[in-house]
Amino acid sequence: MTEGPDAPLRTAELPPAVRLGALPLRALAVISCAILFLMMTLTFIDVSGRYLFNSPLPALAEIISFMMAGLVFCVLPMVCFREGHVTIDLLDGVVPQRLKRAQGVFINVVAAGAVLFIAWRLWVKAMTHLEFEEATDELYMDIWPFSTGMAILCVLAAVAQLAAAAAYLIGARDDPARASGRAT
Amino acid sequence: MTVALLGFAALLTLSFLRVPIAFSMIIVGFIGMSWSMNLEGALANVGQTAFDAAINYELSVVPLFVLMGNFVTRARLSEELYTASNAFLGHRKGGLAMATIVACGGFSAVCGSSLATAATMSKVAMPSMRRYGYDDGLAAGAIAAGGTLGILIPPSVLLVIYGILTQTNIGKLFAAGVIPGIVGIVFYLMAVRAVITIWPALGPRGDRTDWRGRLLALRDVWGVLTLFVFVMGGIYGGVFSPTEAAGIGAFGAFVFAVARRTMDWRGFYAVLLESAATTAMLFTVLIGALVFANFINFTTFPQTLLDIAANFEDNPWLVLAAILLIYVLLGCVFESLSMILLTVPIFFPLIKELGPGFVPPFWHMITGQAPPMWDLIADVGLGLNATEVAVWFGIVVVVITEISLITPPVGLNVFVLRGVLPDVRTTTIFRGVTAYWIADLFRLTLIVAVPTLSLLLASYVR
Repeated sequence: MTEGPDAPLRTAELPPAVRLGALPLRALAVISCAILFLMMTLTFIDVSGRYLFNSPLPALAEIISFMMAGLVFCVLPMVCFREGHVTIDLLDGVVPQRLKRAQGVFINVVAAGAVLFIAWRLWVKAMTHLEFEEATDELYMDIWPFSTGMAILCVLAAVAQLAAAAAYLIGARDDPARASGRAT
Repeated sequence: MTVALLGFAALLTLSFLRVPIAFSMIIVGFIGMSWSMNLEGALANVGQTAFDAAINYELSVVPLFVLMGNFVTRARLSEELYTASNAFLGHRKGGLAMATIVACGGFSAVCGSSLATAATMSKVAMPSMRRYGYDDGLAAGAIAAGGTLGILIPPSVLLVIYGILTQTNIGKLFAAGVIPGIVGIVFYLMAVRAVITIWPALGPRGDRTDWRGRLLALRDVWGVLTLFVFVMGGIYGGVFSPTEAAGIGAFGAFVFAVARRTMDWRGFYAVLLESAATTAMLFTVLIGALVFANFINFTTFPQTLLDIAANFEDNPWLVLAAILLIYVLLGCVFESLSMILLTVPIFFPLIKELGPGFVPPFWHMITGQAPPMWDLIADVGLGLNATEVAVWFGIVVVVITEISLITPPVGLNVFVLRGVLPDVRTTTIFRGVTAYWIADLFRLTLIVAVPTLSLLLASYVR
């Protein structure tokens, strides 16, 4: 799963306004990293606590499941801005050079629409959580702040995806083939 | 049926236009669902799916194994692995390519990703093979093919996803991957041997290492070994859940990377960021695939497939062969994860339904009855039970995905190598990978025909 381990966030090529706009993305990505590291550490402490001191961390499974959501949605805006999603690039050689920018705008607008759609559905979900005062099983935490947070981060991701579309529009990016995410 | 096929067509069209697969699946899945069900249901489904997929303890195993693989890569454990296998194999004809494959197999035991395995090993193995005048194709092919073992030999991110999709015990799946992985290594070694026999000039002998040197080199791989034994042993023995094992493995790999001073703060952040980004990417694909699968399940498509398959109840191998053919074709186009997410929900019920019919074939053909010999080796003589068929099919799917990773035109592992070795032509790598690809076909046949290979170790996992 290494598609350019040290791939720099390609901000240098963008105008200052966009670069400034990327700041929140970086900040959120740092949060996501912190969550991941914490998740690893907590799991380690939990298991060693269980076997060495016979005292596991309470309700860790529940905490980790919410950390998962934080981990995914905090880094999502940056993934969207970098166009780090999995795509099929089989036709890259066929698409004529002059259409590349239009293609870049198209795919990012469609993607932004999809992300925004998810954000909307999560928001509606969050509102039902609020309305019915749903809480978690073990710690009795309210769920709505989490689902609302997910929805808001998702909106931000859609904005980031639109920013990527804009980058093609103003010519800061010119070929979707140079930004490709791959998994596994 | 028609609706489902239209859905697939729309999905392919959008994806070929280069819309990220995750979003193509969400868009088509949602539209299809509101068509075949109703709008409110479809709307509610998307929100619920996204929420459930994200807030999920079980899935936390994914980022943790990804993180472990990235830390291991950063810790440069790959170098010792290569040195050690080289000490044993390097003096043979084609020995460096053989050493590369064994080292890839070793690295796969601590890394759950094929691309990472290929990328890492290429940095270590390629310069050395070039120094000894190896043919670029043979050398790069060994890395590309050896790298595919990453998703078969546990830990494996793909097997985790398969396990979650099909509700199959991840520990069992991991155990099941070990023997087919070793078979893979052996077959690749035979492929090198075959190539060298035909064209001896492609892979000259390297230096011989004496036994003292070999033992010294072997001592250096203790890091990888410890990590593997601890993590996998913990899962097999039922000491940790897969998630816990992943957390511990990631922590262990982190300690290695720090202790070996191969990671500065920037590297540390890069590892975390890359793992987080990979996770987010996997999750969007996962959410998309779940939405799309929900849509397909609302059509008559799954039932039609089951009906067709029912006609072949006496000969499930034909159905399996058809499925494998579809995988090979899809593998030419799709990236591995999206392929698995798209197809497993459709094919898995089919295979499960046919499970009891899977009697190991060759004896069956010859004698016309269930082979008594198989009853002695394992309890598969009368067909597979539900768990067994799930585990075995998981391994089959992963092996065929491995093949797709080195099949033109997309073969992702080959493109990873292209990125790391810009001076080697893609066609050269594909040419070099051919021998391994043929070996893979033999391995696939063997693993399909002899479920025991996958099920033997899995049966010991609780």
